[in-house]
Amino acid sequence: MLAYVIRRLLLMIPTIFILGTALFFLLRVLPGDLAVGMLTTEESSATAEEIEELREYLGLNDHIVVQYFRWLRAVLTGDLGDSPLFDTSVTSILWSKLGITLELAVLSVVISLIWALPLGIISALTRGSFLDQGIRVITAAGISLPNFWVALMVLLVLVAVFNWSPPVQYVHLFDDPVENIKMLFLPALVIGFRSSATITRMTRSMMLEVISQDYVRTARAKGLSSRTVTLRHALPNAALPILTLAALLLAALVDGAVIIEVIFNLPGLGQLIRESITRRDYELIQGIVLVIALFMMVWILVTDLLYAWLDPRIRYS
Amino acid sequence: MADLTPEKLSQDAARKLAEPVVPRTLKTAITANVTSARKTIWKFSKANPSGAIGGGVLLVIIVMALFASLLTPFRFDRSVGSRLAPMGSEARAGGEMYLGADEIGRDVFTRTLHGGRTSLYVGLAAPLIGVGIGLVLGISSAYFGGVIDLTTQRVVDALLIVPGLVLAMVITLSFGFSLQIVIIAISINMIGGVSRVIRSHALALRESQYVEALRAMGASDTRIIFKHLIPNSFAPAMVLFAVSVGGAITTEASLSFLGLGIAPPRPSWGSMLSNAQQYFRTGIHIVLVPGIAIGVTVLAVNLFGDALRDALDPRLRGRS
Repeated sequence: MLAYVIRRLLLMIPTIFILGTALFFLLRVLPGDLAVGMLTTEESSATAEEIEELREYLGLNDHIVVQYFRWLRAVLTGDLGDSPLFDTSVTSILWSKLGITLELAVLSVVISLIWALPLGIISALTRGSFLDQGIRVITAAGISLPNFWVALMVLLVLVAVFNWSPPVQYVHLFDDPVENIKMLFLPALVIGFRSSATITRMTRSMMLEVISQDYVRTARAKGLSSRTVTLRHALPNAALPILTLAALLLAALVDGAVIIEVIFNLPGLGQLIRESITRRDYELIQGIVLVIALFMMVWILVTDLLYAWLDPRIRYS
Repeated sequence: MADLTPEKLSQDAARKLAEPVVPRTLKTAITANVTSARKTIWKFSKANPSGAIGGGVLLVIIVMALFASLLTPFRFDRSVGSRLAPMGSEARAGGEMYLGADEIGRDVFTRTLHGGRTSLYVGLAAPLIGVGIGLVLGISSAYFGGVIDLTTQRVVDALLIVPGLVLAMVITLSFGFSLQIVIIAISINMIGGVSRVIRSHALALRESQYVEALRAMGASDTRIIFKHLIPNSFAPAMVLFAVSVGGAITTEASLSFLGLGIAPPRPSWGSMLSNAQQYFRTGIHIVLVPGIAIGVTVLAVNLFGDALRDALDPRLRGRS
């Protein structure tokens, strides 16, 4: 087991290295000059000397290979560099934004689990019925409808019917929990709509697989009520892959967060990603993607280990 | 008698062994003649009514997008009516604007049809490239094994963990907002997942007797891969293609929505939605139309893709 974990951790090193290197060179192809972008405001543009000076200061005049090794050395010591755009270290910006996106992600997975599990179970138990068909259509819609359109529709309905729009000024969870949840609930619901569709599908197919097994029939034959059979016997055995899926969905929410945070004006990681990309802040983009990648790899490993811990039949070697 | 040398006999035996062991459901489905094709479609529709409906809707959308210029008298990049004109209003030069006009007076129906072209083009081209590269990568990774496999899989790992939309955003920003770049940016995201699935499929194929027979016959690696392993991985590749189309269309729309997709004037449903955002109160139709277009198209594609997966490769069921 320990050997397995160590092997997995070691395998992360080349992956992160490949990703970081590819990203570094990809970003250097970006047209447009960071120095020009930083100095040019709407009213004034900088002189050639000023631009040159800033380029020298930022190290943009060195050969790209030199820049690469300088960056690599810094990253290896845990220094992700400074964001020219925000004028602070990338790490500190990341820390300040990570919380919002993480809260959004956890909230949306919790919301989707709350109604996706029952829906999936009902769908499996009433297989082929109108109810089942209906649920399947809803889940198909959940997977197909782009989340930014769902978000716009939700806002539209709220404004048109209730004449209410969610608060715009972000408040921190610890400052005002009620206002904070009020703000995050809708975006989490929209993101959750998609992941809940995936969870419902998974629950349905897992339950269908489990309820056809012998031990479930035995439990029924013993005279147990169908509620007990479903909840005590079938569900725990179907639950494992569902939990893993939910854990993986949590990691996959970053894509959704980019758009949803922009629409709902949440100052999280998604908004930061968009801003750093459109404003060509290389250091920041690299930092964000590397941290997300590392986080995801560790998270996937944790999920795999959790799986083995919950189900003794699974052993890694 | 002269041509029945022992050498020839063993070659015949090897060729017999080289017959693929994998059931050729796809091949039978595709190469069937017209009558049995009709029968196949009927059987498919009966087994997967929702898939058949999805396929039908998709066909209608494809035809509408293909013949966009015949279906509407207007041009997608010209203002033809008053700003935000409601559905069914009259255009300046005459003719009905079925779905009204957008924020600068362009006909929404025309733009939706042409936007459909963009979506379908990206939706078909990106998975084609992504699945194609993933197929070759997955098979070579499985076939050669060892260091090649280990290295390829690290690249695949990197592709799998990087958030797809973010990577696509960086690529379009770096290389430009043309249709080709958007297609490449989206297809790169698919390579990782596809090559993983194909690799596990090919690992089983590599151990099969017919590959062993081919090797014994002295067939080259290239020949084994391109003439035998790739054709035999066609069924899962087809399924992966079908289930990737919807995602490609959504990603294209997301990129355009964020302003990092295909540059105007070429219409895209995502950028139409993005422009419409500010006209919530005054022109609700320009918010509704592109959104419904994306939703219906992706839903149709997904229903059809799921049904195709069930019909072609039951082992892949449950993956989504």
